[in-house]
Amino acid sequence: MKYDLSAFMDDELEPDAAKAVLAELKRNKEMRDAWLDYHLIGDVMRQTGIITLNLSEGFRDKLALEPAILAPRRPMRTRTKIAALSAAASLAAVAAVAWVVLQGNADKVKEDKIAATVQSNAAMLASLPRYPFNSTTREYLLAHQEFSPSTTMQGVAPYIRTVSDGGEEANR
Amino acid sequence: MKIWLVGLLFAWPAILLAETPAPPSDGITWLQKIATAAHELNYSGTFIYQYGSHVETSQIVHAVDSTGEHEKLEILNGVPREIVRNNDEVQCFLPSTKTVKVEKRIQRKPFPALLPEELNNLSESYLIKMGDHERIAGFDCQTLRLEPKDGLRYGHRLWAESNSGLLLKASMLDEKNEVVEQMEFTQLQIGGPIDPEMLKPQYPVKSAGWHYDLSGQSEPASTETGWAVRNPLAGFKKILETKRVISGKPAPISHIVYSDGLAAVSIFIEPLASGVKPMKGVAKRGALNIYTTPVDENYQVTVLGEVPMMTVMELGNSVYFTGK
Repeated sequence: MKYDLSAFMDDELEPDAAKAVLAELKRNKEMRDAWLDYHLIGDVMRQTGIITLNLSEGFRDKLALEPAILAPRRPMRTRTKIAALSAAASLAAVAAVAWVVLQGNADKVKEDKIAATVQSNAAMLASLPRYPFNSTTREYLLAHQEFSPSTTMQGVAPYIRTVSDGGEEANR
Repeated sequence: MKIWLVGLLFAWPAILLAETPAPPSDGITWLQKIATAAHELNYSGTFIYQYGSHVETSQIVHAVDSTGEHEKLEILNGVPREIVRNNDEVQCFLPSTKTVKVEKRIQRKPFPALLPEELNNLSESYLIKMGDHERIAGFDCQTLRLEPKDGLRYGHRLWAESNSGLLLKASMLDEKNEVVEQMEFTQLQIGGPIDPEMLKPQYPVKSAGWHYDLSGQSEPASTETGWAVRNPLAGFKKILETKRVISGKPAPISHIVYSDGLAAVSIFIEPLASGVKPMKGVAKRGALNIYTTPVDENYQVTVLGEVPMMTVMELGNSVYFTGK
């Protein structure tokens, strides 16, 4: 549904689908929050100078509670980072967006869509299970490696990825 | 977090001003030189593959003769494993299961394989900068930086031997400029004859117990799979669409590959047998990120590539059946 919301904002939805989005917006608070978030991201990306700070109550409350930290912090441990990912998703998305804008690439990307998906993906990632590399993963890796430009530049060396016995990493 | 964000906003212009991008021709010329050297030179040496706290050491041999290219990669620590490539055929020797996996390249491109359109594609997505000279494995190297223009891909640092262009070290960096994966020669000989014995697999695969797994074959590259991506990602172009047989899978798997010239992302769509529960999850190892998710109830999508997790997730969530 969030894809549809993003498409609706870009005026890319069929009338029937648009009606469904409007109905969902009336019904679902999460959708209304997403609507506000997407506009904030859009404002940042377009550098309008007007930032929709009329955010949801939850966000405002969290912002008010956030202490101003003036001392450098020690890096968080990975486990904490994963737990914090979900909460940090909104700010991380804005940071990612700001980064894209400052790279001078804003006109090349579908700004709102990327920002919106970075945000929803970051939130989703925090809740996804990690699975170990299995026989299917290795088969896929072997099939993939042929098309990786790293094979063009390094020959057979990058095939080590397909047979490496190293463990999997936590997501950063 | 807030302070970090503000820092980032102020730091970026400074970072961007600090290094001036080289005229594209210089960087592109070097990339072509690297690609050519990898396929035209004889060399042998030891290299390390590293991500997180994991380090693996390998012996690599590459030789070119009248019959083409021959390469062998032997992993020296942990479980023994070998990869032997003869032109368009890759064989993976896994003695722990007495298996030889055979993968035949289906889209063999003439080398040097960095074609002009791929190089143009590449400068759309990365800023190419020439760096200083540095010494790797006793050789003087020209360094190159490829900085991503957005968050969809990793940055790359390359160290190419100054005379031949052979790539002696390569690292990939995330958005915080931290190394996610690195490959580096620690000892190397460039040029000179290579003893053919060094290129042969050491395992007696014709003896009892060993078996060949020939499943890594695919249909002609132009096969339409009926699957597509709703929101193609900036800078990534589709370079392959095919159906392939994968060992252990009863039905053919659709395989679509996107590339930005430096990183590739593969999308695999697999029909689920009735009663098989679809899976949703992620896996990560070095620069490789993998995302698996169900689509259309009866199918499972797996997206993997040397790109950030967000990129594979974005592509995976955007896969749909075109109905063709």
